[in-house]
Amino acid sequence: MSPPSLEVRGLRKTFAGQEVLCGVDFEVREGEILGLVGPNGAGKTTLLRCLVSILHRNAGSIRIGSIDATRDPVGARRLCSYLPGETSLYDHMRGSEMLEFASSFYEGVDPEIARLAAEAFPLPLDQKIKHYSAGMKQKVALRIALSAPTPLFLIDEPDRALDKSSRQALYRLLLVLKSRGRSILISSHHLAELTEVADRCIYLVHGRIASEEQVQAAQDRLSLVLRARLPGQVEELSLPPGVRILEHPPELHLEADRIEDMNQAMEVLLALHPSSIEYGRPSLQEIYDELFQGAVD
Amino acid sequence: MQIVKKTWKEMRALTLLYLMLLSLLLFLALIYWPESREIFVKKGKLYSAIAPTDSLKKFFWDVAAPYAEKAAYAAYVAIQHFYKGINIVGIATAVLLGTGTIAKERERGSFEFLTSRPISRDKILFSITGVLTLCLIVPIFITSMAIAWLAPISGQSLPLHGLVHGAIHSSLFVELILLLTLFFSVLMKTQVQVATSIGAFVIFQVGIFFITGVRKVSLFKLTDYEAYQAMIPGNVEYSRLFWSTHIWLILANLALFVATLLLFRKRDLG
Repeated sequence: MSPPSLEVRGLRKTFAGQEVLCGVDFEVREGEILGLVGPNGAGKTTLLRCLVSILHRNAGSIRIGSIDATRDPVGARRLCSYLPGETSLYDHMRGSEMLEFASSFYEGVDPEIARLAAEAFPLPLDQKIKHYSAGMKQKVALRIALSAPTPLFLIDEPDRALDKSSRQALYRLLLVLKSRGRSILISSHHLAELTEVADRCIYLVHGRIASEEQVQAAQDRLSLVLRARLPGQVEELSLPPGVRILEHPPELHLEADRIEDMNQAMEVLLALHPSSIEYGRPSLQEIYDELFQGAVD
Repeated sequence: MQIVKKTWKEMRALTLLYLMLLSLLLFLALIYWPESREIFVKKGKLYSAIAPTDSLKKFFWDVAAPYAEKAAYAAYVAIQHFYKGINIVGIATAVLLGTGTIAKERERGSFEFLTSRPISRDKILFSITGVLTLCLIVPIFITSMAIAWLAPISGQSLPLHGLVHGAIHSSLFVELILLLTLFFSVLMKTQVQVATSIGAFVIFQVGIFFITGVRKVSLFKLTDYEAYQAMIPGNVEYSRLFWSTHIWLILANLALFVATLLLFRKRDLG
């Protein structure tokens, strides 16, 4: 089994006495897209900035490939391409100059990905960046970040200021990178789209990565909600006592505390031949909301 | 190398303006030398009596007194170009150059882009400081050397080595202001904060320079008329000048650069 592309252990970061990252542990495997999810202020950007040593950690270790990033930050940055969350380019440069300047720090660009990125994000490269819109600036930043010939990509809110078609092009490009064995850590608030590309997601809650048990518990809690569309009126539903009706037929919405009760309810409903029934895994958005109940957003 | 090129592109307009301003002030001073000389000779004693500082009294006395015209011309160049021109335009440029790179980039957020590239912070600071230093001192040397070429227009002459000594001295001084600005740029987050801090520092130093009792502790004592009056006519051997003054300025510059480097390595730059 190949070593992870990124391994973070016990990462801590404090600002003015306040701990923003309180012992973060996770890893990104080779050829994996890992989603980083959390509300505003959860520490996602701080975490990514620590990974590329823009911010210095207070404790913990960061390993990118075989390199200890805390000891050799420059060597580690050679193995990863970082897209900052807030696009900030050099306004006085032309688009083409900015791309050339950025690529000069690496051994050129990945020509195939650069071509695909140019097709996905067409730009008037002869114009100065100060004349670009926010979306165009983001496209320049994406072309820079994704064309780098690195095995790991650290991407902070890449879909900021992008329209829907550009977002779709971005996620297609991420899947191309993944198919070539590249690893990607991506932070995004567009959870529906993130669900489509991410192999798995980690949730940053109050400076810590939520454990698998916490996520499972949230999923379990959310599993006890059922929606069904029943044909016509139903005179009486004989549901188990633990099941509560939130909305009556024909758009039935049920809630239960125990999975056994919900399974019994499901049997009852199936006998009524519902035209549709939703009782599957909760969406990323629902897990996110469940985990962050009460957190700042 | 890419940071060197980028910094030069960002700073070349300011550098050119700085060179033009220094040249213009110097040219105006030199072509008005005969007129000035007449005025100084006539009114030298009066000015000497009312001059606010000892160095100015000494200058007026030197010019007004029946000294050789050559010495008077050297004193005039010292005060016009080195004491006035470089101390005002050079310091202002040092502050603008210093705040226009690190502080400006931190404020607009592009420093996050730069510091996340596979390049060390040491290289970033060396590149930026190197370019800014050249932008600051090359115009000083160009204009100072030009004096040797322009002086014959007024029927005067000055030794080149004296002008080189003056250029080295003033360059070391303005470099100190540049490095101080870079230090503040790493310490603080916005251009306004840096400019305010360095501005307050310079104003305080100028202020105490004009107070007789504490003038000796003012940084500007290093670049007043007295500092240049012996240098420009070429009467001082450079080894003496180096070991008495320049070595300390060099050490102060080095200390400030090392302090900036250490702070730059440790600082969170996001």
